Amino acid sequence: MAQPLSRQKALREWKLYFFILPSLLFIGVFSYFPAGSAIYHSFFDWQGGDNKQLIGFENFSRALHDPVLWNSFGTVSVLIVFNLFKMIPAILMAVLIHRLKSDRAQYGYRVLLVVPMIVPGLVTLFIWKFFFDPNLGVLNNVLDFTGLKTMLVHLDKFFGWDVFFANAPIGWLSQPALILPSLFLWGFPWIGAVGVLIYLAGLQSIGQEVYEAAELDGVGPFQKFLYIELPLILTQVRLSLVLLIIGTLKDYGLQLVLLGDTGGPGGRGMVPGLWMYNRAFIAGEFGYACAIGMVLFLFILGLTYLNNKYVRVDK
Amino acid sequence: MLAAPGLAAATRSDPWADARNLNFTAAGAGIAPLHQAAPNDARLAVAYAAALLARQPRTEANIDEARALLERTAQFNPTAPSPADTDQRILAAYLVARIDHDHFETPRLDIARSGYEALRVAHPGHALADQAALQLGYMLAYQTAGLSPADTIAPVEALLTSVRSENPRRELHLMLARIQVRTLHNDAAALAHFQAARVIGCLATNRDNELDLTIGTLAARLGQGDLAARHYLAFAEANPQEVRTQTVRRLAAEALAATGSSTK
Amino acid sequence: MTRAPFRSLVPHLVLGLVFAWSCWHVASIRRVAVDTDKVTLRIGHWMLHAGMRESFDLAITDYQKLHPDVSIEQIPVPIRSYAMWLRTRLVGETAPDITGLAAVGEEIAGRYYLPLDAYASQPNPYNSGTPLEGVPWRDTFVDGLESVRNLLGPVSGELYGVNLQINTLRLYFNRNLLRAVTGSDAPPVTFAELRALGDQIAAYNARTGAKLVPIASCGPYSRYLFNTLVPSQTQRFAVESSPSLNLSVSPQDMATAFLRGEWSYATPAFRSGLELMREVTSLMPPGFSQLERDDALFAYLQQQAVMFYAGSWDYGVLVRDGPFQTGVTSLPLPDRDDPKYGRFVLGPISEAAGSPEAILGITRTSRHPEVALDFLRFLSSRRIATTFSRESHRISSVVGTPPPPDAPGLAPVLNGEVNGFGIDFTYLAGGNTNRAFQNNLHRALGPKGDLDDFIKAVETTMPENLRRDLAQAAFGQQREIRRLDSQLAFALTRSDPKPSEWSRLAEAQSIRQQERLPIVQEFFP
Repeated sequence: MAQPLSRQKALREWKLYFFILPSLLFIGVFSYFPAGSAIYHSFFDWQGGDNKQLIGFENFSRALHDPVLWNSFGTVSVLIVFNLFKMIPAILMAVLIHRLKSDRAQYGYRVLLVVPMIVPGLVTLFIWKFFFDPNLGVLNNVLDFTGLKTMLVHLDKFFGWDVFFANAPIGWLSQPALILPSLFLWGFPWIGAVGVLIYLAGLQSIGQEVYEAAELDGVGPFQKFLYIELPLILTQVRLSLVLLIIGTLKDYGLQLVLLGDTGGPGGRGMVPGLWMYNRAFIAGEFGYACAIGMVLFLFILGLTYLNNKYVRVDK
Repeated sequence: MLAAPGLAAATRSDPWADARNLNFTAAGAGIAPLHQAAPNDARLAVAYAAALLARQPRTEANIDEARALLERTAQFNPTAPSPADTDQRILAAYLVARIDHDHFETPRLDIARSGYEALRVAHPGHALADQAALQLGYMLAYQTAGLSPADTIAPVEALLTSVRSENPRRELHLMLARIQVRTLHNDAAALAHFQAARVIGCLATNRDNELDLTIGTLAARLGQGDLAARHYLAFAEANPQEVRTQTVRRLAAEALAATGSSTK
Repeated sequence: MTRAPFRSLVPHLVLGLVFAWSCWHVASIRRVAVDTDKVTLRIGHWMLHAGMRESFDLAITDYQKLHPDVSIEQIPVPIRSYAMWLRTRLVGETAPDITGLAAVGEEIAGRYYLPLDAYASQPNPYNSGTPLEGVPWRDTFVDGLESVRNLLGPVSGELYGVNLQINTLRLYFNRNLLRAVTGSDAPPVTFAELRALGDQIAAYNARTGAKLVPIASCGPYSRYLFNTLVPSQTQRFAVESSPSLNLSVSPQDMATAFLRGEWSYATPAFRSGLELMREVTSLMPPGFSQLERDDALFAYLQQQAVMFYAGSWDYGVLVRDGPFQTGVTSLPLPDRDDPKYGRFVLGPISEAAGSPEAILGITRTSRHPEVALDFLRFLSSRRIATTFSRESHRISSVVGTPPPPDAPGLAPVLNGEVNGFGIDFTYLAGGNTNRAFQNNLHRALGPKGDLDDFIKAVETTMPENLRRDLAQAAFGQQREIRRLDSQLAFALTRSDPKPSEWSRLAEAQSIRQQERLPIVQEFFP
């Protein structure tokens, strides 16, 4: 662990601080100033430009009674649960790669995982939008071809879902009841490169002697995962969890591209970030959008605090 | 007012040009030093107060300051006032009442009412006193608790008889017309007021045309086919390319047919 | 020390080369920007549809030949981000000299754009030698620029831009497919014929195994379709029940009537409009609401749909990219004889001057406003308007300009009755009611659509949504009323006050007070 710098030494080397000034300046201008401006404007009725009126806490009061905002938190909670589930394939993939005996094979799979990262995220979103197209999309064509659609129609009749019809293509993004399932399906098979690499880095810190001891004790592959690998990468899992919760709470690009700025039919895909965007750029209520941003920030702060406090990793 | 020939963009040194461009913050910044240099100049005081009212961000403190400045200006008695100076002080008094009426988050209607009435007593016949009468009309019609629409007609008509300026007269007629037709369902009384407003004429684009249409519709309802046709055709001639024009021509023909006359 | 193998130097080399190239690129831009020999004019717009940029390029080339000391740069911006781009440029005072005016209200127009009234009454010098020579610039436009004035200067009466074109909405049809299905390429003329065509297409599909859709559509374009159909049902209603007695129903009037319970979606004309919407969706592809314009266009160009309801702005791309001949016709609406919908209909509607498109204005921060004005006059001259019409296949707003030679059907239909009004509260301030309408539309449409279910869902939250929207409208009106006090004061404190100016401002304030006060009295006492 690094030793703290003595005050005298820090003061003696004061000229070195000038080297970090440009970075601090950039962070101040491009990160802290916009955030500060958002906090300032959240107390105004602000239509953009310099036309604004101080209204105190009215925006926050309105946010407290805004059913669309609270419903969107409900939606995003469901998405967080989905995303928690979607962590599992990445962990399993990391374990599988880690267990490969050949270093070259491991390297090869790592490269294959990283290569898709060069595709911009927006392009991926548009490709998935095409997948969901009711008439030309790959998803409906695969379901038709494999006969899964017929199965879905029968299940629909049994459970009374009213979303799958024999003589109509499935409208994944045009039926409110299918919006959340579509958002769940998005990204299949849910093996994100960044997650896999983070877990792989954690797994590679497990010493070989641990595995040898486990084999001597007759521990099987699944038990190795459960009792050795998983506990020892919990730090990385926790990091992913924090990033996942923050990301899911604040992101809205996926919903904006797939569903538009109203969150799709029935507004079922509305999330807090998208509502903030809608209020700012569609309704022109920039001040209220800033207040929504503040509410969202408080949520994220609260959840991060809970995560730090209760999701402990025993060393 | 039209931009000066040459299309020069507003310069920040001209506060009145900034105000015309709706940049009241810049206008206020330009007038502030002028006002400070001549605090007893009513014109500058009123302009500065007007900038305070509209500058961004809009705050209660600015409104209070503007009101206080206008009140001082209105009450100041210079030793040898010029007509222009007097006009500015009347404007200041009018604006004080407007602030009480519409600029505070909780309107001070009673104080505004007193301000308007005082203005009418002190300066009868002045254009701003007539504007004050119009504001009193709005208060009677829409902002007096417990007063039924039927009960507002007489006092508003009384205001109308005391007003000479065209704008307030026209708007009082239109207010009465609206109450008569929408709330009291008295088409005949409404028609009279719409016609009176039309005679005065409007400056806003197309408003005269809309009045022609309204008069035509009411007249047709009341069986006054000739009147209806006349106003319908006036609309059609003024708006040959409007989406409603052909319908209006048809309605004019029907109105005339109902009276047995033929289309001219 | 071991020398690093060459291949580990490769990434550093690539990085270095890229960095060097980007430095050179930035430096070379700066060199061009400081060329002071010419007047550089920039024009920013969103009109990326086929033919528009090319038309602008032709006009710019012509203008630059006439004025070698002027260089004009076109800045096209995608429409999805245009409103945001424009607002940030205007606020940051970095807007181009001329910009398209989209999603701009009177406050923005008055603040950031130069009024053009003084010049609208002068003749356009670029019309000399044409029948428009000597005609005031304003009168060289089909509607005298009234649509632009009403859009951007309803209170002040000022003119802040000119519209080069007008839009209409049309039903495009694939002549080949239509002939294959019906034996003729004559399009349907009445709604009954459109309905029948849907049945014919279904029969054709069953016979041949094809999967043709009658009308290609998508979320945004379906709204155009509905907002053309539904007013046919509120046409008679608008004439007979207009609260303002002017043959039309304003969004505020509609909102207050709904709140009072005088009107509802059970009102026969409105319900009929909803039924008409529901019936026409059977002619559209399943899941159309999740599709975008490009998806619908693709389906039509790939000959998966027989027809496509779109704007006149889309005709250019159909002509350019369609491997078949596209016909143009108006959307067949129910006529008075229609057994189901006819009783609400007055007659064919008038499109009058169409809706204004390509509205361009001069920003106050322009360093060369006289040159910008001159270029605007050039763009709206008869000769250049004809070029635009020919190249972009759009309808010019300049009087006497012939419509695109291959599509006379795009021109607005002048003769007809007044149109009705939409019932989705699109134009009501606040947007809450409209959002509730759109969010629940799936209940009415689609295979299991139920109108009663839709009406119940929308009307449950309607009072609250309408109140919120009316409160927003009233708040906006109050802001204008307050601002007009300051404008009045400034008008009267000028060194040379003009009675006409302050009278017009006083009238504008009265108009807003008459709009606001009854609403507040009735719904927010």
